[in-house]
Amino acid sequence: MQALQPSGDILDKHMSNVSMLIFWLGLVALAGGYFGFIGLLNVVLGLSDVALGISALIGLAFLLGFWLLWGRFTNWVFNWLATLRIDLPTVSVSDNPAVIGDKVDVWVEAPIKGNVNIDSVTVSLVLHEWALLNIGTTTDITTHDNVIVSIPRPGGSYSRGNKMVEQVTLEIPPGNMHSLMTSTNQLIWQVSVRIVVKGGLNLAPRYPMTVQAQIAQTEVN
Amino acid sequence: MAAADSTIRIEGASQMTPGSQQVVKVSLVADSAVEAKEVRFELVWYTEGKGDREEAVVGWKTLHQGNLSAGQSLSDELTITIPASPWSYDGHVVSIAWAMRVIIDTGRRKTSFTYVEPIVVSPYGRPAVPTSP
Repeated sequence: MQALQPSGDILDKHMSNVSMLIFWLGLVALAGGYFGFIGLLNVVLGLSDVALGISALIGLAFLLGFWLLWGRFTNWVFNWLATLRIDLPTVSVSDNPAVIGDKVDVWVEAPIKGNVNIDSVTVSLVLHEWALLNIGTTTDITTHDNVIVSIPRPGGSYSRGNKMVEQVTLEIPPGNMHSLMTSTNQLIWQVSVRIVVKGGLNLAPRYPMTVQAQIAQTEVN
Repeated sequence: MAAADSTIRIEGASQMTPGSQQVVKVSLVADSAVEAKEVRFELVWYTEGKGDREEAVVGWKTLHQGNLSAGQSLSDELTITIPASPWSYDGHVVSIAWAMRVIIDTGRRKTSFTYVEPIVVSPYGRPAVPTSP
């Protein structure tokens, strides 16, 4: 049994989008407020071009700092809210690295921090495609999730101090590709755990694992 | 004359098993005189899709060095070892392709000529694809 480490966003896609929306709304509101204030000062006091230029530079520097901090802050707040009643699950697998054709046993354990009703827990095996394209000085990242197998389980009511435990077996079907890691093209096998919390934020952490370029030998009787 | 004025053939299996040894016949006839630095065979894999192209030459052999005269022919039988990975793959944003190629290298990119023979390297006899049970 080997523990996997979570990687990337722990919120499901919907909440990640909400978090991103709040991030951008905050940034736009701040920019609008600041430059509106400078504009108002200009109307009232009649600022010189130099003063206006300096104010604009200060504003841009301030926004850049805010952009960096605000992104971390909104992410932290949403992650904190999501793990208020149920902690980030630990995931262990029977085989890592695995090979094509393996049936991998997966154990999911999440400590309960407060009374919580869980609607469902879905454990999936995902082949995540990741491609990075350099265009001039900018980079464009494209991803695609191939959900190979998905096993939904009913949730339940849990009280503080307990553990939510799930065990599933995921097959890596023949016909699939092994893991691939290059600098701009990657194929990442992941165990995805989606926990739908009644009246709370859903958790959807991902745990990368390695699938080698081999096919499991089957026993012939 | 241009390096493209040559008839090139690469004969071998179009589907290869990872880790296997393969025999490949390469032949070239220069239809006219070609100013070349060298003629070489390469076994390569490369990425296709939405990301930057990455390429790896995993095997090569110099077939000839120097110019080719009109009517000159080259022929070679090569034994190549196919690496265990990566396999050919058809994905949505990432794909992996394999090829054998013969390059008439004139020392200048514009006038060099590359003949490409696509192959599939996979234990399935076709590229791997995302497959559900």
